[in-house]
Amino acid sequence: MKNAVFNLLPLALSGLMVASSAQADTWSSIGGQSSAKPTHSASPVKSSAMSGAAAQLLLQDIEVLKQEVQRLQGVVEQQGYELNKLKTEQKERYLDLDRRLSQAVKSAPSEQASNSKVMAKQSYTKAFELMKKQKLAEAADAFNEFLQSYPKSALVVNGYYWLGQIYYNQGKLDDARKAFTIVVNQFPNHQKTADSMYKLGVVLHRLGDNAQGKQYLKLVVKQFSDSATARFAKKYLKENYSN
Amino acid sequence: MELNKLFAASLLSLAMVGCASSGGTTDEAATTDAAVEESQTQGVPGSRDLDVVTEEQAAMAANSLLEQTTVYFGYDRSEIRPEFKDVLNAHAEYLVANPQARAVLEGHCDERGTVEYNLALGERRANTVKRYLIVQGANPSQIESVSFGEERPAMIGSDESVWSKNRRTEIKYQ
Amino acid sequence: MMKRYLSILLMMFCFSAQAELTIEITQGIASSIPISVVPFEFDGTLTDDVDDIVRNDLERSGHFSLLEPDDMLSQPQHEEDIYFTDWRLLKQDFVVIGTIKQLENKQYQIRYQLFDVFNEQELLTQTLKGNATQLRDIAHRISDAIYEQLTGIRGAFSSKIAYVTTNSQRTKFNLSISDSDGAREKVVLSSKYSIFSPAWSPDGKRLAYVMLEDSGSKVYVQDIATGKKQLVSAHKGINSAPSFSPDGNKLALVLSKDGNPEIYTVDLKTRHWTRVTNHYAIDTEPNWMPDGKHIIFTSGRTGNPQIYRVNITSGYIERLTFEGSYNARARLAQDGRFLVLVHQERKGAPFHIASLDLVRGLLQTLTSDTELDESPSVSPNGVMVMYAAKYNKRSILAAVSVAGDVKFLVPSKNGDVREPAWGPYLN
Repeated sequence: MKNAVFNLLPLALSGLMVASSAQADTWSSIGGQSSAKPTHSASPVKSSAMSGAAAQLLLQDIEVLKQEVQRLQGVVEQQGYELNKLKTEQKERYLDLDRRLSQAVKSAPSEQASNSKVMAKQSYTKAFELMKKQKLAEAADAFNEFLQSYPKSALVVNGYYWLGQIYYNQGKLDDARKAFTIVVNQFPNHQKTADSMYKLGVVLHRLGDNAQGKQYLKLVVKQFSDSATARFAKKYLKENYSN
Repeated sequence: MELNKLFAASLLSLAMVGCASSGGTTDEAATTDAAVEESQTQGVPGSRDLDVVTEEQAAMAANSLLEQTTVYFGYDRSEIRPEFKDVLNAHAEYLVANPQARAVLEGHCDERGTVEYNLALGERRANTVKRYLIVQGANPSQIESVSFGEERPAMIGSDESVWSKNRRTEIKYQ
Repeated sequence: MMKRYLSILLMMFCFSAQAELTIEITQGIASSIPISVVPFEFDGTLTDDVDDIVRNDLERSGHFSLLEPDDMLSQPQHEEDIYFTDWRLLKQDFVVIGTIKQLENKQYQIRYQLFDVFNEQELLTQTLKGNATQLRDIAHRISDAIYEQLTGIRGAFSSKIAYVTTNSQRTKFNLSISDSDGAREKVVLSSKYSIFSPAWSPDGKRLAYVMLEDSGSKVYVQDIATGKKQLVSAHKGINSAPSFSPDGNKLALVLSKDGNPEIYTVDLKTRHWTRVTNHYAIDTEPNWMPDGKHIIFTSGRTGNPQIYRVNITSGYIERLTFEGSYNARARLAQDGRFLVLVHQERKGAPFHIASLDLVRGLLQTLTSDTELDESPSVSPNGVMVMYAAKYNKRSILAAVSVAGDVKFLVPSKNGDVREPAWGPYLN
């Protein structure tokens, strides 16, 4: 049986040539009729049933070609991707250069202002994040640095408030008093004012200054009567000044 | 059960007198029949006897090939490995000799890779076998292919010895 | 990145008897937010422990660390009882308190409040009503609201997951849905045939799936509430890999009736079929993009599977993955900004889940502890990825955050769990 299959080879290849005339042309132009492969020549051809084996060889060749096309498609796609990436990168590099150049030319003061605004915000956020992680000492340093570096920032009030909170939590009551006092005296209309005033009252009370503490707590209740802070102030007054 | 049926059928077609002639007798088959008949009736030793022995052996070999109904594949591959060509040739010959025979080809995968991609890969494995058989002369209407992906493993487990047994196409006669 | 390995392997959940899935948290975020959910006030016993469910939801998200009720200095149930100094002492950032009241008609009213310990402020309060069977829904909604308030991202605890369970002999298959924590499992379909590729309709009311019968694979769509199932596709060859269009009217799927697997779409009402791809290699695993105009799919056109995107009308095809020898079964996040996929770095390497940022083209491998990771899908809020994996020789579900910093396992008590699909928001 093996022999039979072997004998089919020439027919298979001739079938291949017929099947694809373009290929047949190339073959004959390169090597002349029978010289393509040595195994072609000789051996008598059996009849009918052999077309199966011929087609089998054709099929095999097509499979090989398909795989080769797939491999090449992969290479083309990969290269297209690399090329696109390079293009984008180059464009970005150019745009970056362009940006830097125009920046150097302009160096507008307004830009500097907005720049410092961004930096102030960053400095504040850094301190705030430290505080959220309960790293209180580091947070206090960071807030102090922020307050010194950006005294005109809109976040200064918040900075003093949180600094007061941190000192309060650390038990540094006098430092807390100073921070809350700054908010209460210098920023009477800020959203943190009520909380600061309440805390100032509590701090003063705990420092032993009962009268002034009570005064601030009552002021909170009066000035910010609708707020949750006023409720806390009332509660504190009730619990600590009831008799 | 299918196997037994198949074995009996192939015995009938290849070894018994005249039976195979019912469907597209080839020269080879005819000489086999003649040889068998002669050896049975006469039983005389001679030059033809040698032929008889080899032809019988060939028939036996074909039968043992027909008993192999599973071909295996490489990982993520669907082309026929050279070592399974004899098996598939035997099945093709059987289908040619028995036009009434119907085969279902079930393509399977190992568990690696995604369920859906494996369902597609299983179909490719069934289809390459189908194409091979058709090219070898089987009638397309004799063969159905179906994919079971990685859903019906022959063996359970997670190493190459198991995986290699699961990457397969099973030929099932109906 | 702030990720640390906690590697706790805590058994977090104990369910009622019929529930099959349990959850083990394997990795959380070290910088998670400390929060206390105080046991809610209620006279009597309930089938579902609302505050316990909330605690488990928040813990599982990986973004929070929960204080055990036993470790609380006090267990306030009303605002005036909260002594913030206590909670500061316990280093808690937030406290949740609540009350449950029984009304007439077997209704319950649940009121809860979320407080910021540092600012001593109420951040959120809600009152919810429902019957006993809805307590679990209410608990998940509370978790959703708290999660959104504190992270700015919509919570997905109320969403459902679909998955397939099977016995080890692979002779019985159940398509089931459950809450996102594995509770309240409901079998949608039982079959002796393998079920796979479940896909949710955008409204969460229907499931499309593949059933592999003896004659081959078929695609069905089933109404979850009524259980009514409808045969959508039974062509010659493969019928598989369904994916709903964003409007829910069409299905993208795979048919091999033309000789090899191609992507098709079908209008579920008119039954009008449209062929989308045409290539002699395998094209499969379509997933509809949120714009409704593109479909991503897996193709073997370069010899090994990679992810491509096709414009449905123009047929223009673009390759999306370039790293790795095997990239398949991509599923998009709901906003379409990224996708998750099965990724193999090189031949012979393990299969893992990776994410691909479609804007920046960045591929990031998310999993490492599990093997043969498969069928990933993204939670509707784009935070977590649920996938199937081999773990201790069994098929289990596992989840990993898209950021890669939170991980948990959802093993089944018996048999194998496969093919998870995370459902949409249910409003």
